[in-house]
Amino acid sequence: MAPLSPDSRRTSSHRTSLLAAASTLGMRELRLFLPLCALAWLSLQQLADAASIRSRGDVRIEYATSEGVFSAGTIKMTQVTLTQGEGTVIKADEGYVSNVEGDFDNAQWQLTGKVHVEFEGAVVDADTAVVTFAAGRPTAVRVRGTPARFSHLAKMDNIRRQGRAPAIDFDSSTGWVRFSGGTSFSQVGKDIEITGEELNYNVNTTDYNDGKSPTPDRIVIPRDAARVPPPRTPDRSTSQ
Amino acid sequence: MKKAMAGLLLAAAIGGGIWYALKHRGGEANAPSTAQDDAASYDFEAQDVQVTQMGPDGHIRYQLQAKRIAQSLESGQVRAEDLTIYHDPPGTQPGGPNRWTVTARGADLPPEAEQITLAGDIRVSGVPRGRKIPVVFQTEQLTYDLARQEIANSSEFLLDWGSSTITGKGFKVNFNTTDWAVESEGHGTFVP
Repeated sequence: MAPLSPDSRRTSSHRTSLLAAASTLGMRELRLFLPLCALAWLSLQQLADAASIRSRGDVRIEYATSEGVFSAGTIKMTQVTLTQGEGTVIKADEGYVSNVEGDFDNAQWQLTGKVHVEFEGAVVDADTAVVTFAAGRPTAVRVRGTPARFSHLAKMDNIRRQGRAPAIDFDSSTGWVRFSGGTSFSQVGKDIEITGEELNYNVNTTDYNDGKSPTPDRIVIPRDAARVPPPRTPDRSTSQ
Repeated sequence: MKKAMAGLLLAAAIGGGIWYALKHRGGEANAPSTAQDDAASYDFEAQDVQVTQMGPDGHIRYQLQAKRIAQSLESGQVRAEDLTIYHDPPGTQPGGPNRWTVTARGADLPPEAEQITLAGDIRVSGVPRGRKIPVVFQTEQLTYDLARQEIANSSEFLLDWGSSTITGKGFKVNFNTTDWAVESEGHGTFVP
């Protein structure tokens, strides 16, 4: 027999306590108590169902057309959108993946044309991207653009930071985002802008450096005339 | 008056009984003649059939098993019921792991045509060459080009491949090359 999930165990213990309560009541109280029990049971069932849905990390794919070769494990899709949970959305005009067999784990999606990625609270718009899936989730996102645009709303300080660069690489295991090829980085609402050949930013800690100096303050320079174009806002219609 | 009415009723009952007996006396004899009429509309009919089609190179192109197969006398069209078709792509072991299997409730094979039209509970399964996990298609309508070994449909389908499920409208698969395509309305889910 499969072990009970935490949700089903919680539901089970609630049922037991409701029965214990019912045994101490008279007939009049029971008439009120039973409908309340039914309501409580229904709400617990819904809670358990919702929890089981949330706990699934299924990746959903929408596409217009697709083609491939089974033997080679290749798939090409047009107007592709991949979503996982509520936070991860990957959209592009075209998506290509190879060496897949039955699942897309440990697969690299190569995306081209109007690439839009929402991932770990960050939003990236680019011309091309390579998204690596491992252990059932995207673990690395490499985008290229002219320039590619990045935006991140940090949970710890509720400040949106945004940047642009020809190349943006995101490693979800460390949280570091690397901007390279000539970058511009700024904080919304703060009168600073960082420019340079390279910049690293951590989405978990909001630390940043130029790849040479570990002290972030040393690379902060006054905002210049050029403003960073804001990236597209998160696409809520696809992220729901 | 009452006696006359009773006499009339009795005569009617007897007359009705005689008519009923005469009418149903030949009823059982009529049934075989209807079956003969049905059988006469077929050029041939066979049950629990197995057909093995060889190619010009002497290799088996496909094998077909059907619960019933019949050819229409008028159109020459062959109708198969509860059929299973097997195809081993070139270079693979006959009956081996890369064999493709197509099952359906019914199929029509026009005369002098290499294209079968299948309908009802269609299931296509096989392990693509170089892969280990079987691909399974399910749909309700399908055409099967036996010469090109290509299946195509224009309606909704469900594709299961390992933990992935893909649905869409209109797919095409070539059993020999394992090329595939989906025309529209694609959705997919994979469980990591």
